[in-house]
Amino acid sequence: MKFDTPAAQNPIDQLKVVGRATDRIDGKFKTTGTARYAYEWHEVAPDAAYGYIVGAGIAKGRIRAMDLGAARAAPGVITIVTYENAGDLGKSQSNIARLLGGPDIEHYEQAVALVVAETFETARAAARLIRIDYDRAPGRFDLAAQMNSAPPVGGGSGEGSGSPPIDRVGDFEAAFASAPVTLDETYSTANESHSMMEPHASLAMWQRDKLTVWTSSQMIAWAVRDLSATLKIPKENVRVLSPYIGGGFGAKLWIRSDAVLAAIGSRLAGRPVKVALTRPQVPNNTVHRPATIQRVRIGADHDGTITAIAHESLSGNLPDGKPETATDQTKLLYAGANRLISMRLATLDLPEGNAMRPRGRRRGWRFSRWPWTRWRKSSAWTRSPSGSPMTHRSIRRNRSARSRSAGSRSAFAPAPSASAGTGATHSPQPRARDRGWWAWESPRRFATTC
Amino acid sequence: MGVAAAFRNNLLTKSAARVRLDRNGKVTVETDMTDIGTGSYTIIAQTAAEMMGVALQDVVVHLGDSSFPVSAGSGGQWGGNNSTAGVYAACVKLREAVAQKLGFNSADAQFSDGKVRSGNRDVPLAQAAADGELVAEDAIEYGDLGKTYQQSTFGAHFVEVGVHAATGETRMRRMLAVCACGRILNPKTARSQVIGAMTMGAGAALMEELVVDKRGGFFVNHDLASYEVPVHADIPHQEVIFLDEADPVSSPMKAKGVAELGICGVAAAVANAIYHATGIRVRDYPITLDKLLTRLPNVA
Repeated sequence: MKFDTPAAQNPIDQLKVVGRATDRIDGKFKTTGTARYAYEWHEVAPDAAYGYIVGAGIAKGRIRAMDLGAARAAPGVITIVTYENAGDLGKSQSNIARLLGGPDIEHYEQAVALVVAETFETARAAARLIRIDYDRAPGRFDLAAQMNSAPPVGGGSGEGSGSPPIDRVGDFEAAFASAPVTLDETYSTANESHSMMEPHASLAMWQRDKLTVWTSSQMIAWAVRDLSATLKIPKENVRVLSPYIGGGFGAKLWIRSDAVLAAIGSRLAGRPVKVALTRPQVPNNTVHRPATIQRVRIGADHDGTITAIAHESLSGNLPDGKPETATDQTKLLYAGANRLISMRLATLDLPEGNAMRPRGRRRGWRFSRWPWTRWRKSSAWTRSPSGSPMTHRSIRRNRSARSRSAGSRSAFAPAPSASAGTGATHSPQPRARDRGWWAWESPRRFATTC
Repeated sequence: MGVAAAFRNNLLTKSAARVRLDRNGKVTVETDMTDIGTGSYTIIAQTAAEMMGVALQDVVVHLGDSSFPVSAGSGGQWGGNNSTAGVYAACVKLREAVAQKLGFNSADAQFSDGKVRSGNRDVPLAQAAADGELVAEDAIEYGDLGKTYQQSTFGAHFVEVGVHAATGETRMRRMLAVCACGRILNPKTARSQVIGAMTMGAGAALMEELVVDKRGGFFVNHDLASYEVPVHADIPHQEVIFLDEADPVSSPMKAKGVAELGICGVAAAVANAIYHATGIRVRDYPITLDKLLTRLPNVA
């Protein structure tokens, strides 16, 4: 069905069932433990062996030697997968780092081996007997240190917000310089982990050249495509099942090491193999939301009308990675005749950065307080009761603090006695903006509080 | 108190489904759509029940299998609207097959209460499958409406916090999200998604940070004992208001993305609330107590 004209009246509009606050039909399965998650398909593969992933102990470099002897000799060990016996692997377009590393290591905890054994415990114990010697290479791990060298990159997230590396409308600098009220602040956001309840897990089984993988995936067709590309087998030979998923938040949009290594382990072991990442493996082995450093400049008239807006964001990723698209919403939502939007991307050798709980958008709006909350804060809200029994401070007490902060550092702290509509008393501070729009004061500044 | 705008795009992507009608009048939906805890099973069952005029208990939903038609999948708050629109498309085809089988003009046939009606004639739906199962498969495919209209969802987040005068510890007291995101297919599961998103937003604002070891090049706090995330119990009151609207340019469901709107802007509202409470503007997330401690105003 092609949907190319706005919907007319249709049966959904009856709203006899749709639109009703209905209990989850799968709720009883989840609350009784009968919903099957990826690691729990016991009856499908009662003979499944257990795989335990060994992650790289360095962030960047090369494996000089792997000693698997003691692990192979451990009781219950069936096989050990490494780059040496995994066969010819491809890399899907969805993955930046390879899902099985070695001999080159691209990030810390990148999978370098899978120990397959009769039980989880024996696999884990044998994994600890593997000895790996590395040649460690220097890596880049400090985002702020690359602030002035990271190149601008274009792109976006395919949502109408794509842009050239430096996207300009009008003359931002001139409009900002002449604006009666300005803000020029830098914000930083942290690296974050999805922390879904169910860690990544997969059960893989081969029937001749046909592979079936029970996994935890948000995107079934992408999992088929990417397993096919990684294992270099036809898509028709891959079946993926993921009827229940214990959260993903972006971490399960694309396959991860558990799925690929379960498949390879199963092929080598000649029987079904299941692999779950342990919780401590997840943040470094898989993906995370990259940290950002964002500079926001806004020039406005006294009535709050934005005349100039600039939003520049720096994030980092592995080589060939993408930026955290933190500037999208500024482009799409905010007014301002003169505009400058830019993303810069530093090369970092940290684990792969990728989509998480709306990419780039989770905190983009803190400056949306501007100017609305400022006026409100100094009028109606100051009259609201405060100073709760616990610790909530009264506004009266706040005023001295705000005065201090206004005088010392912020171009944006409200004047203590400002009333609605007359609070635009803040003057632009002669700061970084006069020294080029990425020439910020000191990278160190972002290591601690502002 | 703090407030911030919420804004997130509504993404339109192709989504397919297969729908079966058996001789007992049961409807089975098959699509590779996933349910990541969001309620996909339920809204897909609701969609099929509405379209085929049967009770919710008469619908069976099978998801998450690559042997089923390819759906939009789950991510970027695109799952709910697109996957149900795909089921809608398949149901339109099944309705046509049923009407033809029962000798109705499909444009006139009405499906309700397990029956198909037109004029003064009505026939049990199950009768259409008396000679064997009816199967229909189709996809929703979008034209230019995603380009000719800015497809977005909008909202506002309101947060009340208390900041401890001596320790700088921030406690969430109340959260409210007001969301304009099209028709709400199931207010219960939609609310659950949004309050979950609000909770994540509180985490981003106050707690979540993978600490980088800049010598070794890895994240140090790599478990839930040291990378802390909030839960609903950390926030005594969470409320969600969905504005009553239907968006006909989004899909035949007139629904839009819901979940991520619930997270966009939350951390900004929290930061604003902390500023309102203390006069301290922190621009470096997460707003942990160490960033407030030395700057707390004197309170007698």
